[in-house]
Amino acid sequence: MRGWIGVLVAGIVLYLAAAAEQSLGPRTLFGGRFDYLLIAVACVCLFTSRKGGAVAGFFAGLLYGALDGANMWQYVLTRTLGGYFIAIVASGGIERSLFAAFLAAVFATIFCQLTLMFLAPPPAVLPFLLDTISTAVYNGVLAMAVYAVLNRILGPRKAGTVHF
Amino acid sequence: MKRQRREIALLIGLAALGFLLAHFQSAARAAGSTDTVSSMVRQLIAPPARGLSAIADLAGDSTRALANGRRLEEENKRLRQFEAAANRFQSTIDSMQQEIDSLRKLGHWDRSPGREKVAADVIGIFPHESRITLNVGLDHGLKRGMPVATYEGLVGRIETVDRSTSQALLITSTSLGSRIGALIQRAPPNVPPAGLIRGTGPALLTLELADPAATVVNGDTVITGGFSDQIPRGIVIGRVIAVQDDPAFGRRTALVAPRVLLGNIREVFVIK
Repeated sequence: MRGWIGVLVAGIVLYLAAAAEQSLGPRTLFGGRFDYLLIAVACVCLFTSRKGGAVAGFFAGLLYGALDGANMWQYVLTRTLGGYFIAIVASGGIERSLFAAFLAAVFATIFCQLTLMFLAPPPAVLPFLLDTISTAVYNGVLAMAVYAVLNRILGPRKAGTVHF
Repeated sequence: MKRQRREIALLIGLAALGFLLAHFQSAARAAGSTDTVSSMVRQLIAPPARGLSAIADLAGDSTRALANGRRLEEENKRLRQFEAAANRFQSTIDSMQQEIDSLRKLGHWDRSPGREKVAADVIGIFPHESRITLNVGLDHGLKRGMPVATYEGLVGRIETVDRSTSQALLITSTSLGSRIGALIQRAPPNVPPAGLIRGTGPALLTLELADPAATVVNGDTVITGGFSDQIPRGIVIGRVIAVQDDPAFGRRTALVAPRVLLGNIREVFVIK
């Protein structure tokens, strides 16, 4: 039953993140911007099993691809792998903390965007890389706040693990 | 070992599902529509996205009002004066338009595009993909290929349409579908040089001129050519910032900065 609460929370987080991505995605704060779906994937995957991480990443990619009308498979593939790798590290016995959430979001952003860059090369690579780096830092900061909320809801890792 | 195999199978399955969904998405896009999954996702996401946009707009507007209240009030006053002046010309424009309409009717010519404008809100901007999502669709009579503009200039063209939303490909998109006919603006009787314009980066366009000997200088205004039955002539696209010659291939291209700041658009209109 606890697992289903996890699934529900993960679904709600991804849904809200997609809404935020659609409406707030391009807005900048002091020159930088957030990637809300990657933040959601990074935070949710800290609480999931490895399979759960892959599934969460898959839905994040699907939502992004559906919203922006781009080639969906590139987003699906990069986000699925990103979610899976974060879940591997998270389920490997590391202690969950705000700093771990920061690192997970930075990793998710850099890994997913760099792999995306190879699958769908942007017209200008340098601006894309600079944008990725700044977004990774912004994502890391916001991920700490999202993690704090999720940690309150999902509680200790074993009880809150999302099984798919 | 068994667990690992299951995980790999799941990853492969998800990737395959992604490919399948992408296939449906591409097929629908080629037909100018939106696939079922994307359409459902957009409809599901729209209500909270609208709420978040409204909150963000309110916060931004309030901050700006606090910081620039007096200046905004003066600007508002000035704009009202402009509006009053513009209204005075409206009746003249209407009577001239009626005259053109009756002449077209007499000559049995098709109705010219660009007469009707559908106002739309930008409900999603995806800069990396050079796409925007609009809150108008088939219900408003939109079709693939219709130009999207602001009062400053051209923004892009409608790429996919579903019942209540649509997506437009920005003019800065490097995709082949974003190419349009363009002219360098010249006062009559000078013949305006023509060419094909396409996106080459986040804020740059390239105009490949049909005549390599055409005279083009920095600062020239680039407008739509009207060489299609959907995009009317004369919508401003941007300004020439550099001219490049390629003697080996006998080509002359102009680099053009788009007139509209594409990352900041909130409201546009679709020209029918």
